[in-house]
Amino acid sequence: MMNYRIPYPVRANIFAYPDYAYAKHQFEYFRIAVAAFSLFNFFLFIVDYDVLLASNGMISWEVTSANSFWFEPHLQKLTSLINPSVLLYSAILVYILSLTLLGLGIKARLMAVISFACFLLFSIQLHPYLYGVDLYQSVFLFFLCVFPSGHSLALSKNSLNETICAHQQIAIRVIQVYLMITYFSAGLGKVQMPSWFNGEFLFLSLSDPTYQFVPFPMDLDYHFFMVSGCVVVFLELLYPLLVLIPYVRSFVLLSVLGMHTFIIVFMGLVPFGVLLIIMNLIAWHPLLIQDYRSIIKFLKS
Amino acid sequence: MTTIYKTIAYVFLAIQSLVVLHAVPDKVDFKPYYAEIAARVLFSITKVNHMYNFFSDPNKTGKYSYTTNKLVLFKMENKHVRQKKVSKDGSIKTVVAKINQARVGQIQTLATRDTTFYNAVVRSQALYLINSNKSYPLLSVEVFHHECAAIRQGEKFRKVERIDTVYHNLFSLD
Repeated sequence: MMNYRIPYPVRANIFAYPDYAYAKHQFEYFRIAVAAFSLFNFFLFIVDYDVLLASNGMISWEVTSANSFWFEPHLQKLTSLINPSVLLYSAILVYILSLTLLGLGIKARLMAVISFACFLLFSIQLHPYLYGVDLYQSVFLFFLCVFPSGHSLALSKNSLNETICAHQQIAIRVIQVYLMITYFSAGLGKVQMPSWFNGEFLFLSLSDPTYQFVPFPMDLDYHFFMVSGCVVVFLELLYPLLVLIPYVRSFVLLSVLGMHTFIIVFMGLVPFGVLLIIMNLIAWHPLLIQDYRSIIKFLKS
Repeated sequence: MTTIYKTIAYVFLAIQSLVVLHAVPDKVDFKPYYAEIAARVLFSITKVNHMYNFFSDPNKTGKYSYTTNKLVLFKMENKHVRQKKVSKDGSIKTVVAKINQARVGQIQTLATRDTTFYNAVVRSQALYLINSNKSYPLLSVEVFHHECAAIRQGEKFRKVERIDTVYHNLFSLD
């Protein structure tokens, strides 16, 4: 019988080198980070409970319920049976409790499913207020529902065997490729716009009063906006490639973290910037550490 | 189990890549009706049908535009009209904590994207604001669309904009 070998391009798929950019407990860090961030993001809504969450808030439940499909869950659909405040307090309690237990690693898969269900319920109710950060959070909670977590760095005593490790390696690779796709997508949109290369779009975005958080000095030399615009497009579009090149990746990741810090400070998209900084660090920290060790070793020699 | 996880990963990443590369049509007529429901449920769970084109213009015209609103409450006092501004810098951001301002700062964009839904949203806003400021029985809502351009003057940029009113209405509980 002919000895058939699978051609290399087919074998060299995204899961061909599972140890690459993987560190022990990495998916557990992801679990803790997603749970902690989800709590933080939800507490921001609770800060403005009367305006954002309450049934008679600024956008009442009736409005978002009328705009939802019949098969979509909405607390308004139960108000004929239960008092809206009781419903809301119960949903908040379940969401916070499930996220806390998810973070602690107790019944992680079940808690991830409950948290995700609560998140979807709230996202239908709050959808006029949602933006990119909630999209990322939803996908990350979905990953926690699919892949096994809670096997280490957890209060429950589930053993972390080789099989679970292999499954967590798949999960980490999915997160890394997902980040690559999303940055590439953001860069692909911008690279088709000349106004990102001549600095006009960045200048106008930063002068948009609906985004301003800490006012940015707008009287800077136009070269600043031009160079920064080109750097942002370059970073986002080439992120999937640059993040794989030794040493270059450290510079790229630090630049991406800087970009998100800028978004937090000057555009007020605090949860968005915080989540992407955390996710970049979790997804790529083994490579950053590897580069750092190599540089230290080189300097010592 | 490994094969199942890998299959889920491949399917998720492949669909997401196709969506990002515009390789799938924006609208698909699912038949029968239950196939559409199944697709919607699947998309709302996985979010694979979403684009990630933040801070870019979907039509790639390169133009920059944004939407602002002006909300003012009115009352009569000693035969004089008194007013109280609810919005600031073109958004209703003052009603929430500073960290949540980005969330409410975008509501008025619904006026240009989904007029029917915005009509319902703005009525709800009016009800909330008049109830929260009982002494002011009248609310004026104006929504403006700003078409912007950056003009280079020497070494600096200067913003010029054309402002169009896209919505104006008065609300009261009566």
